[in-house]
Amino acid sequence: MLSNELMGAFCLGVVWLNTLLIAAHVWQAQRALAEDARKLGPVVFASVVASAEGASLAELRVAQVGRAITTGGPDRILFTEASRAARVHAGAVEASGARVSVTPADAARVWSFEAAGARADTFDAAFESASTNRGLRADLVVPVGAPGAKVWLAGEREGDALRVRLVSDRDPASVVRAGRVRALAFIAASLAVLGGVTALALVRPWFSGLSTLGGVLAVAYFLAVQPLAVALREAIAPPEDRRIGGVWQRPAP
Amino acid sequence: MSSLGGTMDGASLERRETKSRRTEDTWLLHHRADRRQVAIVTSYVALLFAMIFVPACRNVGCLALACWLSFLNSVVIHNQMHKGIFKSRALNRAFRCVLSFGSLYPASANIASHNIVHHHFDDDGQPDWAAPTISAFRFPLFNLIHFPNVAGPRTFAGVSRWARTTRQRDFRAQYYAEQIVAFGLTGALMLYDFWGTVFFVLVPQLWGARGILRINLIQHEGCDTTSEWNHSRNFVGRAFNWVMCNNGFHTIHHNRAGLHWSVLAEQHEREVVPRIDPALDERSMVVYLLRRFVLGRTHGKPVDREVAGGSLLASRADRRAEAEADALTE
Repeated sequence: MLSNELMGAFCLGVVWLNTLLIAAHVWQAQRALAEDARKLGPVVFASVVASAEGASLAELRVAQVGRAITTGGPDRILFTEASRAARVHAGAVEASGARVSVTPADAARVWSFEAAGARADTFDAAFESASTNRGLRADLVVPVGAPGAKVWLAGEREGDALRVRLVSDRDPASVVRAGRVRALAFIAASLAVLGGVTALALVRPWFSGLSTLGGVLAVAYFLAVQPLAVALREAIAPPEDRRIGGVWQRPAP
Repeated sequence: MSSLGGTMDGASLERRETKSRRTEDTWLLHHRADRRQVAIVTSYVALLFAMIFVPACRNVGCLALACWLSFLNSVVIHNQMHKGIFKSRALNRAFRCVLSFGSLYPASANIASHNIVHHHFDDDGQPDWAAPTISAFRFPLFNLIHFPNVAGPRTFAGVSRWARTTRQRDFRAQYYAEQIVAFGLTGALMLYDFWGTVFFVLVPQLWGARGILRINLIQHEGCDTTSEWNHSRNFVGRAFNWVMCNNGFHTIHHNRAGLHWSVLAEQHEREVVPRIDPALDERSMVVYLLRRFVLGRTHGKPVDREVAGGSLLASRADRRAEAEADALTE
């Protein structure tokens, strides 16, 4: 016969082991962010003066798959990201009072936090394709760094020019710092909450009253901490790893 | 027939299977062999209730057996969601609800997560929700333990997204019905006996559900998912596959998802063995688990083999389109 005490200890052990692994996985994510920031090197805050190609210094071209939403309500298309390509155009920026020309680059990283872009299709045509098994294949073009806009740049100086490794429309240091703070807060909170739940489950008399409430909370905790950790890791990932999706609703006539 | 001795194309296989079904069906089941699956699920559910209502059953042996049967319940979910075992549609729907209670997740989730995404290692351009790379600790045993903590939430987020756009007529109604049965019955048992349900129902349920997620890591880690033959690791022991309803033959299952599980061993021998890197055919899962996850042995890169007879398979895009079409008629 397996006693409640033995099974209770086993179950608490399983929850603690998995929580420690979840915390370690989140710790890995924040360490990767810090390492990424270190590799970027110094970041320059600049104002875009001109771009040789089109209206922006850089662009993200996001290949998306759109599928018609079938849950009722107005016609809508749900987009998910399939892949993306980033490109930095030739241009010029003004940084610390000096004009610096920017060398075009296809392998640069482009971080956009304003993922509004342009679509080529009309809604009717897009919706028809989105209603097939294959779905709609469409590109979303997200411009970064229109003339006059503020951008953050990392890269190597080559004389008066800058070969860019990163163009961002938000300060990368603050992005990394915020991600690391959230990760560390999550780790501390998840361990503290589990500590509290464990303490409650161990209130005497065991397996009744407050102890049972602790058991209920331990089950709820185990089921909740996993999706929360995955959502956190996705939210603090470097912007190029955050998928750009969205919903397109039929425009009002 | 192709030039490879005894190899058949997909249509021949289907014809042969249809003919075999005519002789092997029963009044209730499409395939006589599926009595084994019904027996697994019946034994498992009976054991769960016995542990709740008969205190003498709350022992190590019954709990271990329940965990093992729970894993097999997830294997039956997998098989059932490829092809319903009953001739009656209503029975298949009801059976899904029972299976969902057994593993505490809605069986219909497998349509999107397994049949459409996992079989093609692709979610509209993004990786499989349960790709082996989603957990990357240095010590492999940590990955084996932690894998479901990541794969589970990713899978349910993906299925929820897919459910918003599916054109399968009554998917959502069935999906919610399965959740109501799974969580409702488990919740009711908790109201009756909270601790007994946690220790002797919830533990087996989660063991099975998390175990079937771990299989993704075990069967695909170190494989080449871009290859048509080296994408999966097989476990080919006879006793293992008898118990597992041939789920050790994973390569042929990925490539020919429509085949009934009872013919997989024969088709593995015929189609896969000449083409797969022999290192991906493991005799024993237990030995593999010890070697990989305890001793930490690494994998070599699988080697493609040139075999006469050309490609036997339709393209992945065609197979995925077929899976999407099947999902509409399920």
